[in-house]
Amino acid sequence: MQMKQKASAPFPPLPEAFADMSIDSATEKAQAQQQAQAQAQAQAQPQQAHRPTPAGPTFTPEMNCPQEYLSMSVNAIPATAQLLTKSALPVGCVIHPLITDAEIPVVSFSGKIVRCRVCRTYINPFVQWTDHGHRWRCNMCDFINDVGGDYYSPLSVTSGLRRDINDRPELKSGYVEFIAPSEYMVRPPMPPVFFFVIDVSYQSVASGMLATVASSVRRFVNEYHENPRTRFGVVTFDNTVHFYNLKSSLSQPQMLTVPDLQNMLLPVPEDELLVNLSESKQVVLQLLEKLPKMFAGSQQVGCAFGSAVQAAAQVTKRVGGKLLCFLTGLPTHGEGKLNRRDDAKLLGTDREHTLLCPADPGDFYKSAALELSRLQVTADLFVCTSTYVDLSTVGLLPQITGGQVYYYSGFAAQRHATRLSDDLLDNLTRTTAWEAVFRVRCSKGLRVHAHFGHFFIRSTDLLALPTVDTSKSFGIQLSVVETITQPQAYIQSALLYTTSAGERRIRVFTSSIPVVSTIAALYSAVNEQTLVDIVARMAIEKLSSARLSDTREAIVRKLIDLLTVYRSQVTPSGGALPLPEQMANAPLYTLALVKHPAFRGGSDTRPDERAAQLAVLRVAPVDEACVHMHPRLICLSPGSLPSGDTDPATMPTPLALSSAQLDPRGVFLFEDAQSVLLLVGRATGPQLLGQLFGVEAITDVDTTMTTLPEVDNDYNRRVRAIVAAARARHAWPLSLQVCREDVPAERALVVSRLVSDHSHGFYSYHEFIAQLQRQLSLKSK
Amino acid sequence: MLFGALVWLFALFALSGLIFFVVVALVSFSDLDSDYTNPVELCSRLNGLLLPEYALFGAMVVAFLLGGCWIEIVLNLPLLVWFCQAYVRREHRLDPTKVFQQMPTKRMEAYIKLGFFMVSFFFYLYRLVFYLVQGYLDSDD
Repeated sequence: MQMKQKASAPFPPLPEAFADMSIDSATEKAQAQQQAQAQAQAQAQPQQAHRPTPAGPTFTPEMNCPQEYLSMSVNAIPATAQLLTKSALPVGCVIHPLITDAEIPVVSFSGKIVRCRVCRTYINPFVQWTDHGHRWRCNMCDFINDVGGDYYSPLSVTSGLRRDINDRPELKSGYVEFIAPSEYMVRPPMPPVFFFVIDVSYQSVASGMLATVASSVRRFVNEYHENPRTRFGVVTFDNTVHFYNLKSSLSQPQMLTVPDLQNMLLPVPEDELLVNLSESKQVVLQLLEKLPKMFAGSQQVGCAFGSAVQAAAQVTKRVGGKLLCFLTGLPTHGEGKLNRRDDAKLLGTDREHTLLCPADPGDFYKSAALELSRLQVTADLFVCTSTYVDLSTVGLLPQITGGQVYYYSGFAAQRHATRLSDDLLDNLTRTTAWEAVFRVRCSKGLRVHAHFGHFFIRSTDLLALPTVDTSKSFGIQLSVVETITQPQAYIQSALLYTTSAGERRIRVFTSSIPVVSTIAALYSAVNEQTLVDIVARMAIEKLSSARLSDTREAIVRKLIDLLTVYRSQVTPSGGALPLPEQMANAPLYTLALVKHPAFRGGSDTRPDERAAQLAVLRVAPVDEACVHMHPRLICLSPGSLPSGDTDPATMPTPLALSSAQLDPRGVFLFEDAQSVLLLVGRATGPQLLGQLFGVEAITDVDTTMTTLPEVDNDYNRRVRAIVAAARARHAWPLSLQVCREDVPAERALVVSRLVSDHSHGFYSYHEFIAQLQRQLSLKSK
Repeated sequence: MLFGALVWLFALFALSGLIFFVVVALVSFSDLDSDYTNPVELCSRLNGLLLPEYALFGAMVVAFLLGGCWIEIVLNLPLLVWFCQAYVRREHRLDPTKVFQQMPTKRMEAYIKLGFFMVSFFFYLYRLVFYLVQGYLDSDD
């Protein structure tokens, strides 16, 4: 199976960093050294925590679902609820159902899919075969099911496994896909539907967004579109809503305007507004060419977004599909118009979190989103502006329908066109699951306590997801409701969906997790990155009702609680800051989370920016979320590149995220989950500039470039290979931006994300460690 | 004399209406659990019952005020305060996106309200009978 090359330890060796730390007492210094060494040791180990072998007579490690799909925050389940609360660990998992280029075994049953009669769990490798293979005991509810005649196979005497196990992928591996028969469909499988809702007001045309979107979609239709069933439609809006008749028999597209914004009625039957892309290809291409020219001189500044969404819902209501909404301003006309509530005086105060909750008139967007979800329609939102659009309210559309938010602050075609184009093409071409539902089941004693992500809970534990794709993940928090007596607990997640080819499939992940009864065992099974991701998602939930400062405090308090429990229960004689090996980077991640643009203090983060960042953290898979909280900083100066290596893309070890690392004469690569920034130091020598960019002075460096120029030398080749490797190891395309350190705004792009600095009104990393030590010693008194 | 009896009679009718609303809420919650309804329908049903519930309760309290029955007003004060708080904090309406999280709390609230209303019902019934009997005995003298 093709798996992406995971980056090795992203964290810097700490001993040098600690050298200039000014701690008062010598003992504290010694302890800090000890702890730094422990951290360095931890980084030498692989990032993924040890995955325990599922216990039992016939289970092998390969049977568990791989970590990329289902990763637990703690690879162990506490046996009792008291143990769970006492350990203060958030036990849960993050499930990433669709991964690009992944191969997953597909199983087709001749009759019905084998499921437990009582709890409806799908057959999985961890069931126990009894009665010589004639019956099977469900591992979730212990009910003994009968095996149908066509599914029967005798058990091997030696291993206790079924004789036909090698022919049955569903009994060998914890990740499998079933082909769903017709009982699992309420209607014939839907085709892929892409419906565009495009803002054509003055702002959209002037910034170049309309032209970029039109040309990107044209590129999609010409070069990437292969599926003969795809349906396509467009609706544009400024202060009125315009429909486009794209019937294949027309010689050119017809634009129809509906003046009434309150009662949206379709001017023509919907099969002329939502057409088969292959049949109407010429008409569509003509429209996309004409669109920028039609609105070129537009002076309209109104925005009837709510009405446009209602119109789109009317057109797609019979089929479902995906809405791609492009917005450049606050909705001011028609349904769902919003007021400006971004009072700059509120930033940095206790009332700032109210700006992150949906506005009261935002009931329109919530009910519109619920309606879209019912119609199996997802709304993705592309916001291309820096003016206030009340993303907290409008963002309810992607949040409830399982969509995504793309935010381009200060959109200008010169700078952002490639980014928007790449993102849009990725959105249209990535593997997508349509009209899906998702459910997680657990074994006896466990219960799903909360779900995190973009979805609508339609029924107990059932998430309605009109669309899922490779960039979405779901967080699950588990709770123990009764004492677990079995040695193993099980989690199964099932995603029932329609592929783009029109096949109904069920993607089932099953994992077996050992049940433990001591706190030490729990802490030694912690999976640090997933733990941090779950804490981040819990903090996002908390933000809907608590203040920003309270949320930050809760994040830090969670870490302190974990460390206190660890110290008191596991290592009472440990140093000033005892950290389990698996959680060596937990303080760094906590600091990074508290300083993340979504949560950080200060009054310079706009509410739209925060809302966009929250939307990213809510859905990003674990490794992306962690790199987004704690980005990677690499020095690309010729001296720092690893030498003697045949692979030009080998990267140097990442540096600590502090501005002391930013050598003015060097070139640095800064990578988070959304972009890759190449920071050129202000005192970079002309030789280096010449090698890299082909220019002499830093003022000649063109910061609007989106790819590095090809200059004929080894260094340039290596840097380009490293940048390409950095961009390729993500689940979605990353944009490249070149920043000059002598331009304050560009320098701030990197420096504001350096979490180990004393910034945003919070401690630097060293101060934070000292503060943690102080808190722990207070608690132990 | 008759007026006093009317107050309690009205209270009894109002209470039966309130008990009916709470029972509808509890049945709806169990419908949601067994998948007979979906969150959007449930919320529109229960949110529609909110105004009648507040109106009935308010009318009952006003009736007690007019009738000068201080004990009853004091007894109903906690619930009145709770309703006002919920309204002011805008938590009184059910949100379809959060209903599954809120269900355990809302269910507990519904049970408490039901218990309270049942106890009040019998208490007012007793008071009504007591009042009537006393009035009858008094008029006998």
